[in-house]
Parts: sequence; C-alpha cells; structure tokens
Amino acid sequence: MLEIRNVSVIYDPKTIFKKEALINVSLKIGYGELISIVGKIGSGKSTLIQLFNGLIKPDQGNVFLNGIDINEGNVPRKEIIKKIGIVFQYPEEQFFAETVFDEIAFGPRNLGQNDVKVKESVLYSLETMGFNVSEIIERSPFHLSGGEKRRIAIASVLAMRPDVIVLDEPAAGMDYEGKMSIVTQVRKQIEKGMTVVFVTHDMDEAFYLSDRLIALDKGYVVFDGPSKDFFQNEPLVNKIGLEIPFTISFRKKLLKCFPDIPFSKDIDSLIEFLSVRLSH
Amino acid sequence: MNRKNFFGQYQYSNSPLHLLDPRVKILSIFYIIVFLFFVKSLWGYLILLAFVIILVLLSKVNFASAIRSLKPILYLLIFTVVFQIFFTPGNVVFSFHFIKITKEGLNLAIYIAIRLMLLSFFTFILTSTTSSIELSDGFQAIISPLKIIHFPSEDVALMISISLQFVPILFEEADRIMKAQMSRGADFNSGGIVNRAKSFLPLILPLLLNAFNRADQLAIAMEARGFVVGGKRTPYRAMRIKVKDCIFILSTLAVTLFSLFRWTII
Repeated sequence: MLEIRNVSVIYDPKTIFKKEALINVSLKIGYGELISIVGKIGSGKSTLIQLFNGLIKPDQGNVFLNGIDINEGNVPRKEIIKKIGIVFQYPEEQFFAETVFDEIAFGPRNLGQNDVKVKESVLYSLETMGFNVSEIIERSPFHLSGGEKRRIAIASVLAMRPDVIVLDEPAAGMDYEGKMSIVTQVRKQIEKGMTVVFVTHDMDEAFYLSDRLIALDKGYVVFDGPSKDFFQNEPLVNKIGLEIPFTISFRKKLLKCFPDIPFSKDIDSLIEFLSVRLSH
Repeated sequence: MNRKNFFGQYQYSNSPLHLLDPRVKILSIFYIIVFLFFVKSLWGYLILLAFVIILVLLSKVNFASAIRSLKPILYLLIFTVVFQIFFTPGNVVFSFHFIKITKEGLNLAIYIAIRLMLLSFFTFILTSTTSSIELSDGFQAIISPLKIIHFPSEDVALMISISLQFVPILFEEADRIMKAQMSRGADFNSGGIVNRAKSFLPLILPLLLNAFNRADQLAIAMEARGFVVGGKRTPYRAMRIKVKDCIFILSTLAVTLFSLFRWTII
C-alpha cells in the first residue's frame, strides 16, 4: 500500500548545517500491519513519517501510495491525507477550536464532508477512542485532562478514517494510566484492521505493541523485521543506543534457572509461569 | 531540502565580520542606515552597494540568503516605487490618458528603491553575523549609560535577548503546528485573501497559546533560579575593541565620506 523507495532526505545541503536525515531508505507498509519505528533522537524517525503523507518531499527516491507517486504533482493532497493520518508529538498543543466537536470536525470539514457526514465522523471517532459522547462533545478541549486531550487529538485524526494512522510518541509525557488508556485504544484500531505505525522511544511499548519493527540509526534503516528478532539481537540494540525491553531482560535472567520458560511479550504470563513453577 | 531560514537569521561562521565586537557592528550599521538618508547621488548609492557586497562576501554568509532578505520588503518596495513614479509632479517624460510619468518621479523611485534595498542588506549583515546573545549584550552595553537617568537598561536588554532567542523557537513551532494542521487537511496556500486569513486561525491560535504558556514557564524558571527585576548582573563575556574593530569603523567612515565627497563634485 505505502512504499518508500530509495529515499534520501538531506536538510540544508551545501551549507555547514547539512544533515543527512535519511539515506537510501526503502520499505513497504501493507494493510493491517502494526509497526514500530524506533531509533535515537536525530535518527530520522520524524522525517520518515513526514514523507508518508507528503509533508516533506524527498531529495532522492519516491514515495508510492497504492502504486502512485504522491510527489508527482497530479495527486490531490486531500486524497493522501484521507488515507494517511499522522498524529504528531504533543498533539494537544495544536488545539484551537472552542468545543471538542469543532476540534474533531476540523479534519472531516477540510476533506469536504457535508454536515451529516461530519457529525457521523466525529461521533465515530469519539466512540472509538472510548469517550462518553454526550458528556464530552460540547466541552472545551482546553479544559480536559492530559490523557483526554491526547485521546481527543488522536480522535481528530481518526475522524478522517485513514487507512494508516501514524502516531508519533503517542504516550510521551503521560503517566502510566494515561499511557495504558492510549495503548488500549490503539489496540482496538489494530483489531479493526487499520494499519498502525508507532514512533516511540519506549522499547517496552514497541515490543509489547508491534509485530514488525523498523530501527533507524543516523538516517539508515538498520533493521526491518519481527520485533522479537530485533530485541533478541542484543549487540545491534546496544550499538544503536536502545534498551532491551524489561520483559526480555527479565526472561533472560530467569532462563538460567528455568530453561524451558516460554518466550512472551506479556510480563504477566512470565510471572504466572514463575508462580506455577515455584508453587511446585 | 532546505529548511526555512527567516529574514536575517544568524548564520554561524568564523568570518572577520562574525568576530567583530557587537557594539561596533550595531553602531556602525545604525550610522550607515542613518547616513543612507543623506546620500542624494546614484554614485553614492553605488559605492554603498559595493561596500555591502564586499561585507556579504567577507561574512561568508549564503549570498542567496542576502538576496532573499529583500523578500519581506518586496511589496513595500513595489508600492513605494509605483507611488513615486505616478504621483511625483515635474517634467513629464511619458503620458497616456491620465497617467503621467515625470523625470523627478523616476529619479525619486530609483533612489528610494536603492535606499530600501541597502537598508535591508545592511540590516541583514548585522543580524546574520551577530548571534542573539551578542546582539543583546552589545545593545545593553550601548544603552548602559542611560542608567544615569534611571533607565532600566539591563531589563530592556534582557527583554530583547529573550525575544530574539524565542524567534527561531516560534518559527519551529509554527512549522510543527502547520504540518499537524496540514495533516488534518488544512490548506494554507489557496483561496482568496479572506479564506487564507481564516485558514491561518488554526495556526495562530495554538501558536499564541503555546507562547503564553512558555512565557509563564520561563518566568517561573527564572524566578526559581533567583532572578530579580532590577537586580545587579555581571556579564559573562567581556567585550573589547580590537584592531579589526578599528579597521571596520575606519572603512565604514571612509566609504560613507567618499560617497558623500563625490556627490558634492558631481
């Protein structure tokens, strides 16, 4: 569905500020995938996701959406935005409307939907994000809690019903409860068959949520495959300055005493295994 | 892909112009700008134009960015030139129905256009070779004698310094918000004037709100580190006038006087 082919992005070429943000990157993203993009600060994650919906144009290479080059000029921007939704970091800082309804309706209205369709989209996205619609719809988005604001921001992109939703650090700066609430709602989207792309610094989150992982380092894609394989390659994880998720390091320690401990993404199942063994 | 540079943004380099004392640069550029209004000959303007080109080359800043510095004043430039050409009375050199172009109008339009361009170039030289910290330090040193008349020079300098440092941050934030709103289908580039103005609301409102929030946080952070309005502060960087500063002052004086000298003989 989405293909990045031999893409390079260089910021400020021919100046002393020249920075190669992405170098010869190629990847494909299909329907219903759950992908995490990980890497240190400055590795090119944010640049990569901005290529997805044409917010930035590559200096070299092409970006294809359903086989069509989105930077060719004859592809309407709205068609791209309709298919690829991006929720940027701290999205609540982009609020401007008086009510939650108007904030969420901004996207559908820009896509040219009529009033009936707009209302339908707003209600759909609020319900999807687990809100009590009647309670929240007329409130000011500025007077909500941190977690609610973040969920409203995600809802405002979901209202455009994209095929792919890209979440840039969706739980950054949130407490555990807020984080888990976002994670739960995102999991629901995955169950509905939407393609979800996570950009995250939290390796536990990346491991727990995603099936496929793309790791970036200094503009290069250094890994693209199952997240389990990435985190089992400890030298690579360390080399690019990332951390091993707690579940994996915990299991690794247990392996010495319990060689038959199963591999699991879920810490609870490891604890359950341990409690059964110890009770014997 | 070029990241957007706003007008006169500081461009890092180790050029002789970058290393000049900020006080010298501020005062010299101010002197030239004032002087521009006294030059009345094309010859004088050409000398100043040559001088500014030499300064751009010496400063090693991007030459194209110097040309781009004219962009913000382009409409003002066009408006002024058109106004002078068509509304200055004098000897008519061309007429078509009610439109009359006079020799004096043409002369004035050319002079004003060159003057505005030079003004923009010299300001660009100052801001692109002087960091915001140097600018505020230099400005503070220049206005410090006003303390005698109880003028809060340090506070004013601090306000200027903070404002200047926040300019690039605000630009980055505007870019971030713009991209976020564009991802929700916002279109900032098409439609008539009214529609365009309306389309900027989702950009300006969050930008202002975030700026106020940031100002609040900054005030708290400064107070937490012991900042007191009117408190005595010492500078971290000591400024000294060196030989190169004297050379710059002398060449500025020479160029300006030379342009004036030729004007009197022609």
